[in-house]
Amino acid sequence: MDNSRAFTLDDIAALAELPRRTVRYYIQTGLVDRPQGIGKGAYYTEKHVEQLLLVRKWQLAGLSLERIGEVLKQPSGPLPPAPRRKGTVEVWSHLVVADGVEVTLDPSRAGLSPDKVRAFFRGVAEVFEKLQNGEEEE
Amino acid sequence: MSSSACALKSIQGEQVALTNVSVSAVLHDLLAEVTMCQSYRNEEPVNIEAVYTFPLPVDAVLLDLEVEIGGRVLKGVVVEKKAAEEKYEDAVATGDAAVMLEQLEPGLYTMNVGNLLPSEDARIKYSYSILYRWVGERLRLFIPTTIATRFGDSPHAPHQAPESSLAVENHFSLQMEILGSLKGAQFTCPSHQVSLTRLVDKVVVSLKQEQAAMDRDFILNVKALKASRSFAVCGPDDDGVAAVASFQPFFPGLQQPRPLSLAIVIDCSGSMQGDSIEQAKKALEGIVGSLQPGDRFALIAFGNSTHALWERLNPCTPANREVARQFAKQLAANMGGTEIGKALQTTYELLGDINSADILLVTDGEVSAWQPVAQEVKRAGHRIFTVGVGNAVSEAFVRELASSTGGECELVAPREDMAERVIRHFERMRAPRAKRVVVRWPDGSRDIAPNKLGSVFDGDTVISTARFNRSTIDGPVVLEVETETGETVRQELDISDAPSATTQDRISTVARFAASMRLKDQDAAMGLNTALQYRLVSPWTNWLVIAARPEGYKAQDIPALRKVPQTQAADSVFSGLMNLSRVVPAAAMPPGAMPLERIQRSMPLFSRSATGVSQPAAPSAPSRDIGILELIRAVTEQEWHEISSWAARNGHPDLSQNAVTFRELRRSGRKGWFSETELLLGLSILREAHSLGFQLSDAVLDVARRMNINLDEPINS
Repeated sequence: MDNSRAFTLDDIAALAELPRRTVRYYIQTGLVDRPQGIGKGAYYTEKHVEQLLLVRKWQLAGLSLERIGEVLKQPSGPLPPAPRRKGTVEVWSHLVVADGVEVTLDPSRAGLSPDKVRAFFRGVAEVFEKLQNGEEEE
Repeated sequence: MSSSACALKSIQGEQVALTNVSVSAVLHDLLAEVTMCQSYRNEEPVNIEAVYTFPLPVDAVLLDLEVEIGGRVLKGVVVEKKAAEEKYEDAVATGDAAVMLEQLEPGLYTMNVGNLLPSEDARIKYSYSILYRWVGERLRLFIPTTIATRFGDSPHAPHQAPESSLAVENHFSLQMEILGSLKGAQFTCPSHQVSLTRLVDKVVVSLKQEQAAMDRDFILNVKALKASRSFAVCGPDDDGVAAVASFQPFFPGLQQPRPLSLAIVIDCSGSMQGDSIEQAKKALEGIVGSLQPGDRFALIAFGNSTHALWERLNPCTPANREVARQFAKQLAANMGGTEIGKALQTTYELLGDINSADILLVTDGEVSAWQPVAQEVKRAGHRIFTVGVGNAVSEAFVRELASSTGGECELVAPREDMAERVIRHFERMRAPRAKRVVVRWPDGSRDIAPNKLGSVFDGDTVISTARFNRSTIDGPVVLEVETETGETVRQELDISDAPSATTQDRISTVARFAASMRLKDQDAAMGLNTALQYRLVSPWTNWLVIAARPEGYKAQDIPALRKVPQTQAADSVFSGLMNLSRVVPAAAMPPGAMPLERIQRSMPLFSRSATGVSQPAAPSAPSRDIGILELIRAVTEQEWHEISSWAARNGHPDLSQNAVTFRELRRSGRKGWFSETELLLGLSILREAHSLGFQLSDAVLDVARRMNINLDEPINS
């Protein structure tokens, strides 16, 4: 690949059809590499443009920026679960199936729609009910 | 202070660049002027860009921005949004310092502090004015300090989207001076511990502690005499003059109050956990208590899903009220997300084509994408009266829902008098509606704003602004309200010169105020012109300061982004946390005291209505609930009818009425699921009937035996 062409931040923003602030944000959050050189001598290469286009591609595919960061770090193989930042407040759904039986999940991390969550819980409840009824018949 | 030193560092070891916020406010006769100062410091070895999204009152009109950096004080200018963004980017790229203040949505702003060098400080001072919104003899001064976690993805850019962190506690200090006619007023502060000093010429209110955590709205309630509450003032506006009038009409001797058709909608989403849901329950108590015979009502709770107590409006009988009370008692903030749009849709379907039906909505308004919802409600034609609860209410949303439907909004923080506000709402709903509202400005007026006055209620504030091409105004400004019952109320105000220290300005504060009112009615092209001419931040303009650095002092690299997190709103995670953190800063807390790494909210999913799966809500007694459900299911419509008529014959009207309710539930086809309250109520009916001597069917007695439910147990639910 020809990495010799030098671009400014304006150039790569224009090439990727993104606002400058957005490009800067991607660099600040590590989605796109920092420029070569510093100060007035800073420049970007085609690698940066490619990175930008990749982020855009994943975004259009519906991934969050956090998730894109993980995808980019792990280009092949299964994705590791997203690490949680300390101090983050998470909202977990708890379903009490019966006394002593509880299912806990975070639908967004599990990638489940509300409908799927309900279907899942319904299934769990049915299985449990079946087990219970089976015991009673014994 | 040690506490702020602790808050400097987030748990990840990142520095929080915002070190302090100080608030100083002056309350004049007519309006409040609030100056806020955000202090930033870069304690890192690299240059940084601090980005802080923060709330302001919806009615705040930003008047000035001043930045102190590198020993220089620079005044902000208002620049067209795109141009401001470009200039800001240019400055950041060339290594200069830049500060840009932008409005994201009503009540939400972002401060961008670009290129703060290592060990550098920046003090950013901005001030706003706010016109009082009197309600009766009461005024609620409101300074939000944090943005609570909102439901759904933020519609804003990732660097702007507010994020809250339990590991961070921002702090503010506050001092207020009350001058002029308000200094004789009564003050109470339900949100913070304050000290109040009455001097000869003013009253001074300040926080008891030097600083407080930015985890809740600051609220000062003011009660004042009528004389100081209505006014009209004018000030120079270029070659002409601009005027603001604030009316407070009173409708003497209301006639027969209207009976209500009312849908009561309660937010039970996760964000309501803690103080908010307790407040909502308190509100419901007051609401049910304020209903009169002749009213019809329905109760709807929502989160991810919507759960209606009844399928339609029911008459306000003692039995129905009791059912509603029981329903209210079992409500919990356990219904997940805040699907408020869907809940309102269900409510509209339930109300059908009942013309004069109103909606009373209790919510904290914590929804990220609230603007589409606020647009949607305009079409339905039902007035929405909102009660905004919680420690950090989303003011813009709950206000907008009300104002865009002709309703009204009451914000009620924990420890404020809920009953009083609920009663106030009922008075508004029962009052005859205003059919015609006109503000008559003297000759020569133009650009009257708002161009359409919304709802007008007894004792509430009506504001109007106008411009004049001449330098003097002849005559008073008059408000005329004609009600649907034919009464006319008239209020006349003389227009006086606004007391202003900066009378030499060609454009006075009054003129900027009037312009900010016009902005709301204007399209992008006109709005941009107005905002630039009157130096107003708007959807089309930002405040901007560029501080060029001399060669050799410029930043050399793209600054590291340091978003300033929101302090978690009080009580929104679990009760007691905030009591703890008032003493111990979050970051200094031992791990045992608060599991910082992963705090989970226990959120039983309220899935019964959606799935038909009979899940008990309370983990404490699940098996018992399933048993009761079986029992209630075993009672046929016919048997409920028999219980009802037997009870009526034997002198137990309440029991009879309650049994009718269940017969109706059964008839409506509800077999699969009941709310916990309904279950308990159903059980108590069966027990009462049984103990009074009614012979329950064998099928029912059989289930009771099988499920181990003793029908002879004393009734206490």
